[in-house]
Formats: sequence, C-alpha cells, structure tokens
Amino acid sequence: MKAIRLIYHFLGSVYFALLLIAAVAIYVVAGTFLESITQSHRYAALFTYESPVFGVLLWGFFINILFAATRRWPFRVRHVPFLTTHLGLLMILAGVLMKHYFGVQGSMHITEGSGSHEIFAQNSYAVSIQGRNDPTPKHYPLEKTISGRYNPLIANRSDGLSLRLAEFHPHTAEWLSTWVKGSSAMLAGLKPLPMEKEGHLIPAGKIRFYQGDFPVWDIYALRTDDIAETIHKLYLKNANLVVTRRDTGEELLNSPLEGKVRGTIKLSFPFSPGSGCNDSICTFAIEGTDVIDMPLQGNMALQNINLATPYLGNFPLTADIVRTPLLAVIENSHHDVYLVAFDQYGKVWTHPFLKDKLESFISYDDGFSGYSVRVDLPFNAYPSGRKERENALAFHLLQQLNQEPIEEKKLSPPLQILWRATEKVKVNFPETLVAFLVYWDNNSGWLYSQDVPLPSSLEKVFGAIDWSGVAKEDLQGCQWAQLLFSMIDPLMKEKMTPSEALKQSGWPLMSLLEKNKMQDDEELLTLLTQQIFAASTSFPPAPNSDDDVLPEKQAALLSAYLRAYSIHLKTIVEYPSEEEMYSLLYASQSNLFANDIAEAYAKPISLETSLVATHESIPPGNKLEDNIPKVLLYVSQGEHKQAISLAYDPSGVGLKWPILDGKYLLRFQPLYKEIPYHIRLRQARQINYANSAQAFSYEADLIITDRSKGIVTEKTISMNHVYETWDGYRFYLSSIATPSDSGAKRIQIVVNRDPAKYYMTYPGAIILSCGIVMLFVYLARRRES
Amino acid sequence: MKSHSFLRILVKFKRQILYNSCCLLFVFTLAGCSSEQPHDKNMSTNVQEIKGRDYNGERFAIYRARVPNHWIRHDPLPNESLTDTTKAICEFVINEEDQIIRIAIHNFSSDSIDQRIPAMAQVTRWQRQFQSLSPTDTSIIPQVFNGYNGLLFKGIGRLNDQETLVMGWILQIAPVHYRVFSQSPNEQVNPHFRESRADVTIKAVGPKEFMEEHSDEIINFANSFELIEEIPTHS
Repeated sequence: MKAIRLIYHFLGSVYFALLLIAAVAIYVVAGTFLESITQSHRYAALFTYESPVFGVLLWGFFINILFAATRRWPFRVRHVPFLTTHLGLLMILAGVLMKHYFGVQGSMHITEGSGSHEIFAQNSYAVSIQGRNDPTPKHYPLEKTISGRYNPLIANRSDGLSLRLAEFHPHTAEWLSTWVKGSSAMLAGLKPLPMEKEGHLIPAGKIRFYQGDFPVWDIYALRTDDIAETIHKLYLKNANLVVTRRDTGEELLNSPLEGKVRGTIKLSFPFSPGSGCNDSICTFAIEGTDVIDMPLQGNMALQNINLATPYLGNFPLTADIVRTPLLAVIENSHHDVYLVAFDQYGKVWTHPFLKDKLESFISYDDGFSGYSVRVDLPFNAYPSGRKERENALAFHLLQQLNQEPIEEKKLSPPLQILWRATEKVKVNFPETLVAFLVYWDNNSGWLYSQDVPLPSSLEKVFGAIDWSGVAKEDLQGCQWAQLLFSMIDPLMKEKMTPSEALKQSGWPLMSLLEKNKMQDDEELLTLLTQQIFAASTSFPPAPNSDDDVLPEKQAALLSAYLRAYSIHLKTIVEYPSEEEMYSLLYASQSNLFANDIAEAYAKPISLETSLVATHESIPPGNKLEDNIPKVLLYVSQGEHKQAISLAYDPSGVGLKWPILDGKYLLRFQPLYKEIPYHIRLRQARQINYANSAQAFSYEADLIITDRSKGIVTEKTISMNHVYETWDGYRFYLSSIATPSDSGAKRIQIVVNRDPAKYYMTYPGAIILSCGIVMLFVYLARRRES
Repeated sequence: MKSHSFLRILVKFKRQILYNSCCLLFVFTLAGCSSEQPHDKNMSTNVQEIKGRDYNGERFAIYRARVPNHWIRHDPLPNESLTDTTKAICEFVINEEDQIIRIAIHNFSSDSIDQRIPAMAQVTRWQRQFQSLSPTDTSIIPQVFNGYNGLLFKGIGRLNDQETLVMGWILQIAPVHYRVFSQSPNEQVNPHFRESRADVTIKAVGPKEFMEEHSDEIINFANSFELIEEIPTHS
C-alpha cells in the first residue's frame, strides 16, 4: 500500500512532470535534427512524434496532470484556480489523444467532372483486389504485428482467394518493360530473342511478314549505349549501292556499302534519345557525278535530290540502295528501348520506347487480359522504292488534274496549245501533260532539249502542235528563249553557274538582271525567261531552221512557254505526307496483287508485345517520402497458385495487374477510407498574377453532398480558403495538376477531421486560460493580504 | 472626484491606450482589406436540366446549367425528331425591346473518339458564316472545365447585314472521361452514356452592343454547363 501511495505521489509530482518535459524536449530536439539531416519530415515524424514512445509520454503527461490535481483531495476553494488550469490541460491532452486515435487525415484525387467520397491515408499500405464481376474493388490493409513486421496474411476471402505477403522491400525502382524483358527481346508470335552485347552484330532471327515471294527480314536484339553508331553499323550490313543511267536503265555500279565504293558515301543518322532518328540522310558523290542527297526518312525519302542545280531537273544517273530488310530491338543501360527498321529500299524508321514515357498501350478486357504495346512499321508489301515513289508522285499529279473536267478556256496559253494538240490526235490531255513534265524533268535542262528524242507517245502529240493561235510576241519569246537556253543549258550542265554561262554567251541584258537581288540561280533563270518574253518585241525575228517542224523542237518551244508561266513538274507537284505517299503507292499499283489479298498487303507491318512491370530492389534513402516500397505476394485459389511483385502506387490510380489467368486485378496502394461527404469537382483553375504566367492562387469549384442527409452545397475552395463542414471535416486544396493527355484537370484535396476539437481542445484551451488568469488573481490577492 | 480619478488613469495609461488604439486601427484596416466583396451568383439564376437527343425513342435529361431567370427557354416539341443534329437540343432567348440574343445548344454523339469533329473545324465553320469578319476582332481561347475541354470562339463581324458578336463554345468530353463512357459493356445498361460523351456546342448570337451587355451572364451560363450524372471513375 505504501508503495502504491509512493508511486501515486511520484506520478503526480513535479519531478515526474520535469522528467516528462525533459524527455519531450529531447524528442523534439532529436526530431528537428533528424528532419534537418534527412530532409524528410516523414523520417523525423516516424522516429519521434509518431513513435509509440512519444504516445507513452503524452499519456504520462495526462496521468501526471490528473494525479497532480487529485493529490489535492479533499478540494478547497483555494484549489479552484489550480484545478481549473489542470482541467484545461487534461481536456487539451484528451483532445490530442482523441484526434490521434479517432481523427481523419487523408487526401483525395478528383478529376474535373467526376467525384469521390474516398480518401487515402498517407503512408498506409493496402492491396486492392477487384474480381471480374466486382463493381468496386476491395482494399486489404497491410497490418503490422507487435514485433513491427507486417502480418503475412493479407486476405483470406470467402471465394477461396488467399493473399500472403512473401517479401516487403522498402524501396524499388519500377518501369514498364516493352520489347525487352530480362535478357530477351520479346515480339508477339516469336520465340524470345537473346539480347546481344555491344559489338556483336549477329542476327538473332529472321522473319517473313508476308506470305509469298517477299524478302525475309533479319532481326537483331542488341544492348548498347551508342545507339547512333549501332544504327550506322547495322545500316551498312547487307546493303548495296546501285547506280543506274536514268534514260537506259543501264547499271553502272552495284557495290556493298560496307566495302570500298568509287567516290564518297556519307551516311548520317542524327539521333535524339527522346525521338530516335528523324532526319537520316545518305549523300553520294560517285566519280564523275554530282552530289546526290537521298533522305532516308520523311516524305522525300529515297528521292535523289539535286541540291546543287535543282533548276536542271533530275540527274541523268539514279542512285538506289538495295538491302536485306532489318528490324532491330536496341536497349540502352537506362532500359530505354528503340525499335529500328530498314526496308529493302534502305528507308529508315526508328521509334523510342522510353522507360518513363510510354506513349500508349492497349488494355485488353479492362486489364483482366493484360496489357500490350503495339506499333505499326510504315512498310507494307507494296514496292516503295525510289522509282515507285516517283511514279506515285506522277500518279498523284494526274489524280489532281482529273479531279475536275478541264475546260480549254480556263487553261493558261501554253496548256491551251498542248490541249489542242491532244484533241487533234485524240489522246488524254492530263496524261500527256504529266508524261511530258516527267520526261522533261528526267532529261535535265532548264528547257526541254531538242536533242533529246521524244518517246513515240509524245512524239505524235508534239507533231500536232499548232502555234497559229499564239500571239506573235509570245511565239517570238519562245523562239528566242529556246535559242538562248540551247546555248547556256550545256554550259550549266558543265558546272557553270547561270551567271557565268550568260556572261560567256554574251547576253546583252545581263546588267539588268544583276540589278535585282536574287536569292538563288533558279530565281535568276525565271527572271531571265520573263525578261526574254517581255523584250521579245524588241528582238529581231528568230532565225528559221529546217528542224522547226520536228516534234522535239516543238517540245523545246513549248517548254519555254511553260517556263514563262512557271509550269514545271517541280513547281506544281506537292510532296505528300508519308501516310499519303503510302496511299498513293497502293493506288498507283492497285493491280499488283489479287483483290482478296491487296488490302491486307497494303496494311503496315504491325508488331506487338506484352507490357509488364519490372522491379529492381534498391537501398532505401533516408528521405522516406521518395521511397517506393515493393511487395512480393503469393496468391492462391484452390489449385491455382501465383507469385506477383507489385510496386507501391502512392496515388492509387495506376495500372492494376491481372492474376490467376485474369480472374482478379491487383494493385498495391494506400488504404482507402470512405468519408460521409461526396465531393464532385466542377472546375479547377489557376489564377495568375496580371500579365504573368506565375500562379497567384488556385481555386476549385466543388459540389459537396452530405451522403447521409442528401444536402448539397456548392463551394469554392482555394489555397487559403478551407471549407469546413458542420461536423468538422475540413477540405483543403493541396494542388492542381494541369491537363496533359487526359485532357482534364485533376486536383488533390487534403481532408482532415479533428473529432474532439470543439468538445475538448478548444474548450480546454479556454478553461486553461481562465485557470491561468484565476491563478494570477489568486496569487496577487494572497500577496496583498 | 470620480472624473478626477478617471483623468488620472487616462494620464497614467495614455501610452498603453495610444498603443492599443493603433493596434485596433491596424487590425480593422487589415480586416477591411481582406473582406470579400459580397456576391451572390444565385440571386437571379436557377439550375435547369437539358435533355439530349433521341435514344431508342426516348430523351433523357443529360445536362444542367445555371440559367438567368429572365432568359426565355425554347425546347423542341416532344414529338419532334431530334436525330438531325442541325436542330438545337435547347435554345434560350434574351429579348429586350427590338434586340434579341439567341443561345443555341447542340450536341453531336459519336461512337469512337476518332469520330469526333476537331474543335477547330467547328470554329472555322462559324467563321465562314460571317459575311465579313476582321481577324483583329476574333479570339479563340482554350477551355477546360466540368470534364470538358474545347475552345471559346469570339468574333465580331457582319452577319445578316448587322454588326454581330458571336460567342461559341465547342466542348468535348476529356479523353480520359470519353474512354470511361466508351468502356460501358452495354449501352442499354447506361443509355445516357452515348449522349454523355457527345460533343456540345453553345452558340450565342446577337447584336454587338447587346451581346456585350449580357456577355457575363452568357459566360457564367456556359461555365456552369455540365453533365447531370457525375462522370464515373475507375478506382
């Protein structure tokens, strides 16, 4: 009894109070230092304010104050101030303890237009399980035992599903694996392809995408950090450069790119980690030829571009790449994957699949049948080399000309001449025009050269050309232009610039031309042609010759007339987009395959692979907020057993992963808890400072429905404007996420409720204040007396 | 005697009184600065429900908006077919003396997200309806609210030989919500889903000055336009 009395007196003594105050002070100091060192509030909170020892200290205070008051028994009037003060303190402490045990603290995420009545508690762990027929998922918390470890049994459901915790890792790195899983590249329909290390350019397999006589693709699976260099090396493998004469088709060169080629070849694959290669280009300078640029990507892909002398039309030689088509899956050390493909014509395609930035994926059956990634390679079974592309462009032009019936009166004068000739020999006008423009472009020169014989189809038309309806000055302009360019075109072909060629030919109006500031040689030639037509009346009549009646001469005169009106293949054809080009290639070769397979062969090559989450356990950091825990779960239902690894999804809105052949979906997330209010977000907005993009405030318009009473309230909350319900639920706007791909803004609201605030904490504070005042008054009176 | 002692107290505590008065004045000034202007948006408005187009012979109330009390509402007749999307699902009129503003609401259902007409195409169509439209009097402002995103088009120009202000909203349900509405296994279960994911246009047309007078209430009306049923979410 004496011992109990001693303990009672000690617990209510000032010594115990000092002991508690000292312990709390040490805790607070330790908490401050821990937070400062680790930069983690959660770390400090976990080891101080949220630790069980701190809870014991609070209870110690409660007992100390209670016993200190009861020690005064039997109470006298003079005890009133002392007892009032201690009652106030006890009420405040009771309020703190009640908030700790029965309070609500959590966050909710809401997207504009939708709502929620669930909050998730920060730092809580639960596994969400959703069955195929469950309208809503069920959440099973991970509970700690007295020993501080997590209870291994998470769920044991009535449907026989059992969930056990096998491992808990405090920190993990998670990424979504696409084409590479572990040590293999995985493509749906193919066996796993082993990943080769840097430097081993050995095909991992072969694949044929279309049945029949189509090329077989080499597949490479590589791991390297020098992706641009690897693409370059891969491109050189099994690739030949073929140079032919454009007019006769005679093959002049067929040499492997890897070996020594006459002249120079420069391959460029500008690589960006975020987008792969976008402007790959091949530049050739074969002995005796000009520099030919051949883009390997984009809408101009595989065209032989004459950058030096575009006004002279196409090169007399053509360059093509003939290669074994290739598909490569390349992964770097950051686990970013790049798909690279070269078709048999050397066209390049790359696509990045970045670890942290997956553009899109397919969800089968809402995720119950898993997820996958699909990509369409812009290649199909239809031939799509340079020649086919040139033909497709001509076809495109023909399609445009055939869109509306052509009326002679609406045509420009040079086209009227051609129109009348086609009518005379009864041939199709658009086809003749396109055929001539293409033929002219292929037989280089500013004007068509009368030395180049016309094909028989065009010869007949040009033989029927009649200039009788043409104004005299126009005809004279055509004749003088043809005469002049028949002199300077050969000089320009011998690498002379137009200015040099004109000076050498003694063109008398050169000084007038030079007065104009011209951007390029093409502009100078256009101006020159217009100059000749403008001054044609001042010229003497053009000399007649015996070959004036030849169709080639007529073609040359007409080409001069067309140039005067800026009509040339390069000026009127618009390069279609890559997608349009594939449609044109299909349309221009529509008779290539039988009807039943034509459409299937026109579809792009489609590749697919499953999407899986890959986890890598890493040492946890002191900043606990940045740690992402991972659990390994054993799932069983009857005979079916499965292990699954899940990384923590702190916002609880990420992917759910299927288990047991798609019977259930699982997600490791915070524990959700329902509150008695349903919050619907109408609009969230950022209010900026005037004339600035800097946020001044954030606001959210909410519709708050009391779920038990059905009362609806419309409120606007902002950063400094908290909404509190009658029963103490407080809603605080924490953040607004700007709309991205989802197209809708999303807010985070922090919800908390202190159940004892109005009954304990605040009245306790008032009583404490009164008690302190009373103590002072009592002491003053005692001193006076 | 009493007044004498009161004066003595005043003299004794004059510094404290002065200090306290300053503090009180400062507190009142701050309180005056921070007090919000009283405003009551609901004073002259009421929430009205708007039905969508016919679905299996029925029309469901899909939308709601806060409508000023003085607006006159015209609904299509119950026996009138609304399958023609050129017909408005609801129209409001603001009529004062000879001046009139018409606010027409249309919706355009779609079966997939790719079928939706781009918002800019609708703006272009509205621009073409003008006889003349100055680019300087035209603005296109992105809009994101109530689960919709889209554009607000404002244009002043000549329409029917009159200087007219057009304010038009093109609202498309956000892709994240569209996917939810499309995932419904059976539209018969949720017949309003097809209408809920429909694009909506709200177009107000009227004489320039008259429109400017009422532009605030038209904007408030458009901003309050929302689906009655909350957009479901996957948790």
